[in-house]
Amino acid sequence: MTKPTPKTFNVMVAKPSEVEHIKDKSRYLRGTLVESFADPITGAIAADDVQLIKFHGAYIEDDRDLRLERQERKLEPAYEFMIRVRVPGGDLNAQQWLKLTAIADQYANKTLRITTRQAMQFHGILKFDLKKSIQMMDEAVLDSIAACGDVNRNVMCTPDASLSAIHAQVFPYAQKISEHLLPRTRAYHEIWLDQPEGRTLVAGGEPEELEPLYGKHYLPRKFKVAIAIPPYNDTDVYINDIGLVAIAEGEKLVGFNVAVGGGLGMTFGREDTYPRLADTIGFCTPDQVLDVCYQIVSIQRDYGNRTDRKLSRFKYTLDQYGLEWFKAELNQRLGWDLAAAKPVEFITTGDQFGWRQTADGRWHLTLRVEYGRVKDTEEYQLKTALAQLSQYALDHAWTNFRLRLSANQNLVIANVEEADKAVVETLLTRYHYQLEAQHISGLRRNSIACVSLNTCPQAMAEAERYMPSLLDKLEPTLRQYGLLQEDIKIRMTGCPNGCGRSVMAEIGLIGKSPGRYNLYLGGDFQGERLNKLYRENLDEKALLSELDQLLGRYSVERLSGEHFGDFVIRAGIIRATLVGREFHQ
Amino acid sequence: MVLSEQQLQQVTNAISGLSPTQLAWLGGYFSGLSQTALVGQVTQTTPAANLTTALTATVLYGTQTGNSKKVATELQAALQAKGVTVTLSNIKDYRPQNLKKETRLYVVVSTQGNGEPPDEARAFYKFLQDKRAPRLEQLEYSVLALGDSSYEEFCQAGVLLDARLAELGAKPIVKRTDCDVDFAEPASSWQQAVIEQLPAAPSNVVSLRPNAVSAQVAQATDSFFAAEVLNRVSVTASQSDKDVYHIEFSLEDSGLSYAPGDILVVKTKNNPEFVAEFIQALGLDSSATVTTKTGNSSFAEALQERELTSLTRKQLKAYAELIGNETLVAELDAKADFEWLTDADWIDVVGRYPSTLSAQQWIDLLRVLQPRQYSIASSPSAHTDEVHLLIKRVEYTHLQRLHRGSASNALAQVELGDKVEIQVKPNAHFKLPQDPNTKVIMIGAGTGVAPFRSFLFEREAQGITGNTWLFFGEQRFRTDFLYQVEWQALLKSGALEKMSVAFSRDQTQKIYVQQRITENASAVYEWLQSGAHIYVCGDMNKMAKDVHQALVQVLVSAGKQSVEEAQNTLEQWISDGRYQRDVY
Repeated sequence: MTKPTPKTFNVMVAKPSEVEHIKDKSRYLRGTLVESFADPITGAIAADDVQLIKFHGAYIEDDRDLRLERQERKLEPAYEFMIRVRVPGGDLNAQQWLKLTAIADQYANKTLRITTRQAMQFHGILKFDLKKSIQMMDEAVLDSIAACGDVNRNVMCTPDASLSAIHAQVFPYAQKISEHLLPRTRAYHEIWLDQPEGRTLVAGGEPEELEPLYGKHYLPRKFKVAIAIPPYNDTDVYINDIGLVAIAEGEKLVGFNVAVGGGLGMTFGREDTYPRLADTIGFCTPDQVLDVCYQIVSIQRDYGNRTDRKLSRFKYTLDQYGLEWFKAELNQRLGWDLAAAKPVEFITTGDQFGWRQTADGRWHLTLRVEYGRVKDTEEYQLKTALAQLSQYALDHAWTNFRLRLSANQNLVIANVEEADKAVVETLLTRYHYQLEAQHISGLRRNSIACVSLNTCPQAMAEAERYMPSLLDKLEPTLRQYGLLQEDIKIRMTGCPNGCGRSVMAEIGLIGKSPGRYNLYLGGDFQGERLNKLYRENLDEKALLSELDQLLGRYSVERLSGEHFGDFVIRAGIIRATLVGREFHQ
Repeated sequence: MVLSEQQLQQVTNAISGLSPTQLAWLGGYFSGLSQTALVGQVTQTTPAANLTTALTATVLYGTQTGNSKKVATELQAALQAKGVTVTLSNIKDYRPQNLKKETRLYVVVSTQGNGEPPDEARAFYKFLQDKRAPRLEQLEYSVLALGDSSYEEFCQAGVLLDARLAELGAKPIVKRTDCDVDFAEPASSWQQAVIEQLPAAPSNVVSLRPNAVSAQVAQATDSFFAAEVLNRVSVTASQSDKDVYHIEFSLEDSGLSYAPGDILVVKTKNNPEFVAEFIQALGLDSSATVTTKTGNSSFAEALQERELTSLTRKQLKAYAELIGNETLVAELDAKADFEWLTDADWIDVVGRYPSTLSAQQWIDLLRVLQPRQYSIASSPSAHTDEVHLLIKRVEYTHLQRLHRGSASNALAQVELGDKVEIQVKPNAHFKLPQDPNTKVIMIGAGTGVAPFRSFLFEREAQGITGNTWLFFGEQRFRTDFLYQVEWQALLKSGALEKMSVAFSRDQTQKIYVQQRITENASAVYEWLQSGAHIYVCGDMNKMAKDVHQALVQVLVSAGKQSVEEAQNTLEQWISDGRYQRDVY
């Protein structure tokens, strides 16, 4: 093992990547954002600001369907912004939902997009409307601070109260951890909310205590935290830099197992990049958890790779220096030692659809939302239904009413009183929306697709727009083999960066080029095992043919209750990936 | 050397001691001589004798497009050939105070679309219209008015001038002639009337062949070059409400040249399907033979070269008379409201008032399809051997029917390799300042930005940086930012120093270029203070007026001038050519 040397706080490392330079001179994330957003001649922003805007929750994108046309027409690419709202635990009240709907309608592409990390995302916002969008969020006490960028991102927690008696005790930690790890710079408030300049500028200097956790270079790369409440692993807890697994004694939360070093992104053609699941390193009590998270982040801040951004995630830091080193370093920083981890068991990463009741008598309805896209179509008008429901909730003082985003891109209508259930049902029915997900195949129910084309700049192939038609073609096969209601987890992403968590799927598809996908097999159903590359560069026909064979065998050879992902390993179709480093082997 | 040394010596001796006016007269005299084959017969003429008896006359022209200058120059030559001493001048360079001393005045003046005189004639008109204008009893005059009868205020600038001169006591010696867009013939008749009205010419002076002048005028509008289309691309996004095209033509082997600010005249034909639709509405035979000025052709072919998509009240009246609809004639005479006519075409007319006319009658009634004029969008230095246009395809619904502009739709459909008839028309009054260090403010809305592309690419090609500020307005940033990437490149290279944009439909309250001007009042004023020239191109009614108002406001707010002073400043700048407009 290399002997680790920590980075000195606020001092650049020896061979910093370009982004490190940008952060260094950004004056705590200000850069030239004000100037860039005032430039009326382009819908884009300055190159450095493209990096900095991420810390404010936005990405610059362009409508890739229009690229060629616009080039020919002497128009710059159709630049637009994606902005991601920070929603810890995916928890939104009625007023917030209405504001977000208004942002979608007034400034974005008229849709709201539930992300796989329980955030709400908007696409298609013009540069000149971004500030107005952020201000509209602010009116509902929402922000997009640190929703993207080299900081801790949205903190996840299972949104479905019906899944556990301790949910109400666990859920607030998503918010607490998110707040605890937020950047402290006032750049966001100055630039978007026209609030007075922060201390840095008034003083003329840059007081170091301004960003006590992050310093002026922030983290080497993004950082993610999630909480799961066993036996449900809907937040895919082990794919996070920090995975916290809530431990109950009876109906009381006693603490969290702490797992570290998860992360899914990889780069095609670089086998030194790989997805990795978090290792459980111990247990802490609820009152210790904020400090544990803080110190873990600080270690990554000091030891993470700032030279090669492809290797700068926390998972590589751990694999480089070793878990034992890390535990020692953490215990030292904490001033006490983590306790031994408790045994846990997960059964699924999926959502439980339909109405479910909690002990307090309230009802919760989990709706399947196809790839998280809340929209109005000719077939159904979910956006209108939810907006009207939110308005109704406001008008009738349903103070506990919540709309909660799930990590599977679905939506929980939470805390509905018995007497109000009918209102929810009537509205959804009026707008032709199904209350259950039993009418669709098990494969479709358990499917995830990332945004991909036409907006994501990383995309190499379709995902969200293509998945429904691929499933249309797979369902006759499922029917033929009697697998239509079988829960099988299929996920598709348009690139290997992992937003759609394809490498955790039983059937994982990662886009290589338009119309071509790599097929990965062997992920488990409960989110504890990565899959492995099975076939490369398949077109649709080849893909359907491969899956036909695999599903055909599964229907005949599976053991009772055996999930597809376990079957392919037992049958010797693919080797199990036991640690991330062996993903490519 | 054109002259031998000996000849040169003789000429020098002959002209020694002559005044500039006399020399000018001689210039015209010799020019007249050079255009006749009968040089031998005039050798006995004694110029000196004529000098004493010569009539004097002043010919003024006020032009927006160059046509008036052309006609005036021809008149000058014709008068000179008759032995008249002629002073030819652009109205803007003429001191109106001199009118009191003039005895014979000929004015050729064009009218802008809204009935106003051309920009450069404004000071002259203002002087005459003032209540302190001098009495002009000594003056004999005649006015040739150029215009376009598709506008309501047809030839209004000429009408006004004629009336005012008469009011001031001047005698109209030849009745005013109002010319439509095909002015060659009436202009030539007017010129002949002017010549015939002259007192008997001094003896022995050979006059030019009477038709020579008009033949020349006609020729100028006839010589078109069939230019190959090199590119035709839409420059608005497919989601735009409008359809604007960038078209490139090859000038290779054309012998044509142009300068930034010039105009391209383009001759197209009506869409055959549209012609067929019209013929169907008439219930006539498309193959019927009709006679036109150029010979016989089928009705359908002839209609391809007739103005079908627009018509004037006058034409409607002629039509009403031909079909014997006395009610309609009476309504037209009574100036009844004919708002529907503005955007109507002939199909609308025959729909309302069915035709009883024969094919030949239609051909005689309809105006010849006029070539269209567009500001050139390219730079001769940057786009060698090419000329570019920026064209908005005109399409609108009126009277429940889709109407399409004839030329813009023809151009929008040209394919690469097609040939299009073009001609360059110089536009002396829309030219970059001579001194490259003079600041330039360019204001263009929609396709009005075309000449500024020409200006800026020209400056870039000449290595001139800075001192340019472009104001551009359109509907939407995302879909209608015409030439966006080119402006970005020009800003980067420095050929364009500043750009301000207004996209009217990107927010609830509409924002136009004029707001950007007033928002930037102090900076604009600073530029004006340091001598900036102003260029405005675009729609006259919708934009040029508002921009003018905005400039007044700048002078008032930043320059502390009174509104009247500001108006006068701008008038002066118009006269000085410091504020130039290409509006339509």
